[in-house]
Amino acid sequence: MVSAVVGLVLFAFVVSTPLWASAGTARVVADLLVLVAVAEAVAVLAGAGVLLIGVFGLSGFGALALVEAVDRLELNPVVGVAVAGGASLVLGVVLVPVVLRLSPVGASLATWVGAAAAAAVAGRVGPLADGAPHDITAVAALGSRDALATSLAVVLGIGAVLAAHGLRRSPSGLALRAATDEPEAAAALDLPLRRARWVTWLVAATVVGAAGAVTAFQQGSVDAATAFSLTAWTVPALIAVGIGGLDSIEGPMVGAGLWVLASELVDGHDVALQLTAVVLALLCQAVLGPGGLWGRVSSAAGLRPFPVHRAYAGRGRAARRDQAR
Amino acid sequence: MSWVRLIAHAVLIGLAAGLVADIVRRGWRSTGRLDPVPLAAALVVPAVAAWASPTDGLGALIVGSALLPLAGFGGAVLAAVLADPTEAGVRTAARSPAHGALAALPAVLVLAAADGVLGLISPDGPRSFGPDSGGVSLRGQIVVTWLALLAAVGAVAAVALSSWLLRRGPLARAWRTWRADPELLALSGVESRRLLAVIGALGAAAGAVVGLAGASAATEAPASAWPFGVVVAAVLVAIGLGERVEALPSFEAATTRQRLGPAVVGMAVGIGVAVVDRQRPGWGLAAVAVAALVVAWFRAWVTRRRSLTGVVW
Repeated sequence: MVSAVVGLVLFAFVVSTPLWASAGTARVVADLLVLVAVAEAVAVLAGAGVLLIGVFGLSGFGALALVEAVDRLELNPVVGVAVAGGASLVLGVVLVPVVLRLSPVGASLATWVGAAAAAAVAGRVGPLADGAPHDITAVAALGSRDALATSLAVVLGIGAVLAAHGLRRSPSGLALRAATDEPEAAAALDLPLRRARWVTWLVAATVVGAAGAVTAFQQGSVDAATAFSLTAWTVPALIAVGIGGLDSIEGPMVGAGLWVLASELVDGHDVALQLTAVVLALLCQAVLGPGGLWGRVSSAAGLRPFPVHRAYAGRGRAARRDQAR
Repeated sequence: MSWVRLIAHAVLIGLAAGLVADIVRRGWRSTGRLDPVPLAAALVVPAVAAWASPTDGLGALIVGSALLPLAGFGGAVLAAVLADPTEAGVRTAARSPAHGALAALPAVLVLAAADGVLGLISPDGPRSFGPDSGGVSLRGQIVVTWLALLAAVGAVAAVALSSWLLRRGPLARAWRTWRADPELLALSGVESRRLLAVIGALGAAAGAVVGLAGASAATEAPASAWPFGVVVAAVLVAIGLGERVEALPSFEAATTRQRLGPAVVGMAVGIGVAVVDRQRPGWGLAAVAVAALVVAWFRAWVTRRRSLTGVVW
């Protein structure tokens, strides 16, 4: 009951942000929601065995897709963000043979290598070739850009959380959890693992691409060094899941919240902050396990705002016999 | 820079990346964990050495060598903390491929920590790792400095020595026992955590020596973990980590191709980056990364075609 009330208050706070927040507050909330979305995508894909080190490749692609959609196709900027998410989905489909054919650890490294290649190419051809920030004129000219950017971040963050929750509770999510615990049994049951990995990868690619587009929208410009930056995209996301935890919906949210809070508190000491946060994330993983901080809090306090476990509900004669007992 | 000198430098830098990849892969195939500590040591130790001895390459090498015990200690601590000695990595990793992300997460976090340390050591960009001194000359031009050659020979020797120590002797026996059955090792009176710490120390020290070789060849110490890290990742993607953890030491059944593969691929990657960058500046990494991905995809495709039915992933 308490967690439901707290959840509702938080939800109302986040959704109403564009209505009441000052520009600075709205920016912080937008940053938080974008990071939550990316961290949820990383955590969900980690359930399929792949650590998305190449977050920065997909985010940069999303930003580039927004530039093309708005500048070349002359679409409405808000529609352009949606188109960028769709383009990332298409890119995900194209990359399926590379990502899902390799072993999970190999695929994790491959996302890094591929993203590094994309960053190198993006800095030399296309609208970001000259290295200077590329203004998205139609976005920069919007009078209500900050409010729109925050609204887009709200939609992205809440959408990513709901998508991750739905995915974890779906047959695909259940199949992946079963395969994590007992791969032989999962194979013997012929669970749809290939489809589960497909769906998970495509959701993650779409969310991260859209996150890159939302950030580009918020800034009104794109430059290769930021949009394709490993330290700006991958490191915060991995710190968030490392501290908060990988195997829950709430863990990445907690980790992202702590990271954004710390970033605001110690603004201007980026290297020291990164070093401290990474060490904390390593300690959380080593001492608390994959569940991270939230796993410990959840098990101690019994808090589960986004439950993904299902109670066993048997069917048929055996279940009726069990219930009769 | 002449072509000969360019290729010579690229070979040495690529060799360093290949040797680090070899250490990381060996750890993965044996423990089911991506051990990033050798890579982190390969980055941080040269940076500290260059900071301590900015004008003298030999001095930097000496400082770096003096730091090896410290690197080993750091590797031991991290290995003891990160590895779970009660559950052999062989079992953990072999149990489900879904644990791949759990294996990779600490690796990337340790690299991020190394990147932070490098940012503190070299806030203004890469530090010089000793000026060019005498070396092997061709038509009056130095192709490779003696220091770079000395460091490269030392790196190969260090990796070979660490490999040998994990193949013969009591340490190797204890390691094999741990991989097969940690409880049996405990019953034998060997503490698992201490064993893992010793192996971690060996890997970190070997990685640090390799890093010194790479810095000597490049004549500058790294200022960020990611550029060298992604080259090592490209080598690992190209050679493959191995689909499953082997029950027996990989080197006992390893062919010459498997033993030398990482070093050769590393040198090829180094040459590829240097040559493409020479022709089209800035395109070297992209070209090599795409080539590595194509090789990995092709290998996976062939493996999948040959694999038996019942493949889970």
